[in-house]
Amino acid sequence: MVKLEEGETALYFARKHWCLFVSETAFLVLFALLPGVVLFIPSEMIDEALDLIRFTGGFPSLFLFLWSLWLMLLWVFFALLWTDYYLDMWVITNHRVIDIEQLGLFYRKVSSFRYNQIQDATVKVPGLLATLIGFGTVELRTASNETFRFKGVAHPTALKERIMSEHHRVHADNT
Amino acid sequence: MNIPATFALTPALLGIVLCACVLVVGGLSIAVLYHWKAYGLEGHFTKVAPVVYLSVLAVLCGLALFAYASMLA
Repeated sequence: MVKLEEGETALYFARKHWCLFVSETAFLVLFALLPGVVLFIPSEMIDEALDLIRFTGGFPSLFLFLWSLWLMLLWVFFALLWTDYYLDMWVITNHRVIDIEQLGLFYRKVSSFRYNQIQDATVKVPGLLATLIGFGTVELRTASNETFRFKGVAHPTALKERIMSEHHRVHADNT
Repeated sequence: MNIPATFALTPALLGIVLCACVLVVGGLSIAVLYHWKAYGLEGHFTKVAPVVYLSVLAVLCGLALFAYASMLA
């Protein structure tokens, strides 16, 4: 859990666009259905194969057994991808921007920067698909010349405007 | 041409495969659920997602056990 400072409230959670997550996980559906190809193999060939491995039980039980194990592994893999998608985000608060980078299960990087550190903000929407679906890259450059980049974020322009409006608010409060 | 069998697919071997799978899946599930609980910021998600995840996993595990039991019978 990200610990917020006293008087700090989370205003917005920015994540990657869900379409990118779906495209990443679409192959899992394909893999899940792949063992179904066995059902189209002639039964004589299956009997021969079962003789070869000296399996005496019924083929449907063996198929169901191996398929359910396969689905279990794919389901866990889906959960890993979901964890990566869900926990990889930017939290926009009234004090700062918190960049949380989740790479797999055991690598997590949390960095943050305050609005008065922001020097430059850029939005990149690469191509027709990104324009139609509404995802892109937001880049923020800080005073220490560090660049924070969020690739594939949903509604990048709205995110940038949100950050810049907070930046202006903080700037106005300080003057 | 006869190809000699290199191994026999016995119920004991399948049982070992089942145990190995359950161990791997169980270990990864604990890690995933820990991450959701520790870092999932929104309360609604942390309540719903583990239930859905574990329910599907239980169904698949039950299916594997059922198939294994029917092979033994």
